[in-house]
Amino acid sequence: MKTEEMLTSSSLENPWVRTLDSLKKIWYKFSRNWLSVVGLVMVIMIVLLAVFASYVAPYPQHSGKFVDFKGKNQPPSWQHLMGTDTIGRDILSRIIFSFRNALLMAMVVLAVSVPIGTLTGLTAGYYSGTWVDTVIMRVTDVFISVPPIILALSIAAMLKPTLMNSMIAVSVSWWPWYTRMTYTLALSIRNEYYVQAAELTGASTLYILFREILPNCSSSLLTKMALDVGWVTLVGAALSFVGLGEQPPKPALGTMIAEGVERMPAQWWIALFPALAIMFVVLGFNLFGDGIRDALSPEEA
Amino acid sequence: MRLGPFILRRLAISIFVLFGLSILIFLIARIVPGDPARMALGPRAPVDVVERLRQQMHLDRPLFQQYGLWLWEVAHGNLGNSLVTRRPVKQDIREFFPATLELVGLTAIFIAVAGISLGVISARYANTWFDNVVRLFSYLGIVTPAFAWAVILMLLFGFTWHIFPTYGRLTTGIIPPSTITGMYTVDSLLNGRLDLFWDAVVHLILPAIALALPPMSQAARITRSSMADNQNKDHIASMIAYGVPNRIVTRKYLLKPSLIPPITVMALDIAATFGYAFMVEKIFGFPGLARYGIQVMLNKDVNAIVGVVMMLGVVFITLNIVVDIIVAYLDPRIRLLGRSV
Amino acid sequence: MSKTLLDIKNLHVWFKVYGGVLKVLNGVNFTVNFGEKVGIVGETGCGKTTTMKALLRVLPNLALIPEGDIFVRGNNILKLNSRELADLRGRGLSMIFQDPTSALNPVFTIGQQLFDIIQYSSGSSGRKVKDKKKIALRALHEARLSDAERMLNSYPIQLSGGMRQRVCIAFAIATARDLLIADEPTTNLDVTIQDQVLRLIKNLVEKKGTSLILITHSLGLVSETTERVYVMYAGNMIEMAPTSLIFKKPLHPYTQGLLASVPRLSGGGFAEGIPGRIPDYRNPPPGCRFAPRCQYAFEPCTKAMPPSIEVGDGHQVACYLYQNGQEDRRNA
Repeated sequence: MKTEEMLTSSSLENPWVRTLDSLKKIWYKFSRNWLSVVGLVMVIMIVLLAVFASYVAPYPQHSGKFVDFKGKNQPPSWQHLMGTDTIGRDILSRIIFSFRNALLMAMVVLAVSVPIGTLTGLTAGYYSGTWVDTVIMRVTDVFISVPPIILALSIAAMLKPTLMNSMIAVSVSWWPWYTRMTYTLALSIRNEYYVQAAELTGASTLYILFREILPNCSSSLLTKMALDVGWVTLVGAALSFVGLGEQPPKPALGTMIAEGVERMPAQWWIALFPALAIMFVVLGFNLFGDGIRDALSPEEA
Repeated sequence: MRLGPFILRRLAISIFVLFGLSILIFLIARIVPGDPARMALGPRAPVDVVERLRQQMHLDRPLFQQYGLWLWEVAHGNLGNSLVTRRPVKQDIREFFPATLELVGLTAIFIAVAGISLGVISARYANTWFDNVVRLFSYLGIVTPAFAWAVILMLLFGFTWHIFPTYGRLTTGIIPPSTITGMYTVDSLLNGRLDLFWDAVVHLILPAIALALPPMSQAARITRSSMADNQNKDHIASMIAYGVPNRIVTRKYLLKPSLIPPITVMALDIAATFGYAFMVEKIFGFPGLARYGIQVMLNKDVNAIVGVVMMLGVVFITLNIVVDIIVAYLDPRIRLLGRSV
Repeated sequence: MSKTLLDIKNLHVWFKVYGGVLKVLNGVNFTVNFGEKVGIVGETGCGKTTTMKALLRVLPNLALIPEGDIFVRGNNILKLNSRELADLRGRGLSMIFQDPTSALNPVFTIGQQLFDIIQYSSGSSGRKVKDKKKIALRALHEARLSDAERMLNSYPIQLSGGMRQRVCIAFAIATARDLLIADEPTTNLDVTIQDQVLRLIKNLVEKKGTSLILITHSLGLVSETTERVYVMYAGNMIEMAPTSLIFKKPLHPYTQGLLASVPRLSGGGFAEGIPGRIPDYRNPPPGCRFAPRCQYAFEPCTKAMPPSIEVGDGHQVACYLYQNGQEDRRNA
């Protein structure tokens, strides 16, 4: 096929065909590892459970104020697949409802920390070597010097224990990591030829940041975001374990584990199932995140 | 630059970071809604007593003056008194910190030894059944948080099969060794009491394993992929081509560059372990700094919170410096250029 | 004693990857005699480096050799265990890589690497340290590296690209006996350094009587340095001839296309590339692997890989156009 023929080939020119084609390629790369598909299934399950909790949970009313002292501390049975807790609430239903807040927290935290983090990281990376870089990165260093969980704990502890406050606390502890990641990426990308070309042709800084540098970070960013949903859930559970975050009687995975730990080993199910549920969430988003990384990685020669 | 100047530079940066952290903590502490003096004395204290305490605590001065005075106190080792225990925070820390230090120390040893060994062996036998089993378990290890492992391990090895104890630092009723460092393991050895040593260690094992499993799995994974990556590099092929025996190539030329990624990650993980330690300490009834930290946080014990966070800040910064030095020793590019590419 | 140093017979190499199997080498035949300078020419991805890696037995784990033999000094090295291999390698092979940065271990000094190479290049017994240092310094000096003492204590990161490549050559100088493999030794270097490095290689080869395998995609390099040339395409040696002959009388359509692609300073007109791309190794064409791109392809080309046929004067070609010896079927 001569060169001229290739250029006028119509199928690849059609933007719809191109999008469909790249989607197909992404799916192909994603699905090559069956574990990623498992992750996707798990993630979909979690999302569906969270959204349709009222319809799916066997005892939806147990997620709110509910007591049934007669039915308390029941081991797993056919009526209560995961048993009941100390005041008779069905554990399975509460776990399903707790997914709601977990996902909500993850979304809010990411919605706040990702834009702030990437913006600061891009700016610091692009203006590398100037005072902008130094200021931003030193502040980030201070935040990073403490592991996010501890920082989130400290901040949440200073505030009133509500879901909103715990989300704020986690977001503040989370954005510096996005700054750090974007910074490193921006540093290496800014020296690429296409960025220099854009600078030479007079492109504005905003343009360069958002149309040249950012798209090349997108695969790392999206992967990290997928993985982070799991980790934020984990930190959220740690906060509620201590009593910060969502307050009882609303269900939260960490609170349930804390209650359950008191009753070990006799009523082991009260602690074990929420723990397994957290595992499920983290595992699902981890596998999914790995798949995203495969799907977005450039093809090897 | 040589190793010396590199270390100095890192120290200088760390002090700067420590300052920054102190400012951050101080600001957060002062954001707390409510009057610290009132909280210290309780709701029934008369107003003039509260006012006097406020003046004593310099709460009426401008913010940066407060910071300066506070910094002065801290530099002299005075962290104030805890609202909860009514004792100097310094004393609380001295009592509880060694326990957590012991725990995290043992955890760190597990992570480093088991994580890297598994990774190296896994890389050596890549794609065999051993490798696949290790990879599967390390994946499970990573995604299961430490407190979940704590629950599982406690159920299995503590209650179902009574192998390990599940509560406290020593068996109830046993008198701890005389305090030199505060760490029961070290102190009992220094006192020559092997029985106490054994008791202390046994109490540490389950919580340490629970804390170590996720980072250990991560370390194994990273070591393995790092070695696999380096395996295909030209310089390894070159060594082999020139006839250098495989065992030397693996143990020397393959291992050294491959250790750098896992060690960097382990630093972060060990620091994060302090964070997860509180949950594990609570679960195992282990009286450590983490558990103390949580209590004071819930009680809004400002002085204590600040003390604990600063203490942890110092620990992390020290940890980071140590790791940076190790990495700089391993990788000359870091100490010569300040970066690795 | 036979004058054949290296004899690769019908070598197949496959790589296990996610989507299937990459059948890269498809029956490679390749010989090098003692003291000979042989070139391998081919585009990126045709399997040149893979062949060398197979020869050195440094193929990655996911590679397998379903068929073929490699004889070095008469020994079939595919059948040796790792200790025998180490022995064999030590006594005679050296290799220079395309990218000098990745060819040197970044976390060890030049000296450390050089000493180990010298130590083990003569089997397993060790020489006294004094000896090693002297040999190392001498090799560095011969590679035109100044301040050799300081070089021993330097790390690769402290050297420039040209210096690193010369260090690699110094490795070869310190140990070379029978065979030096140079894989695109000048591709990543500045033009001014290229000449120096090339001269060093030629010097080394001529002074010590070392055989040379020069892998390159530069025809100019080949004409300057080698006596005999193999042209490689998609895992096969499709043509082989003495260097002088291949330029005058290229036979295989691919070789002809290659030579026609070289831009000329005089004569006007643009150089023509060869349309198409190298085949997908997962699903290679059943017959001749060049057939899909070949304008002369005809019936037998899609059935089976053509065997390599001698067409006189040490000239071999694997193409159905020349099935009856010298006769070019196109002219019939």
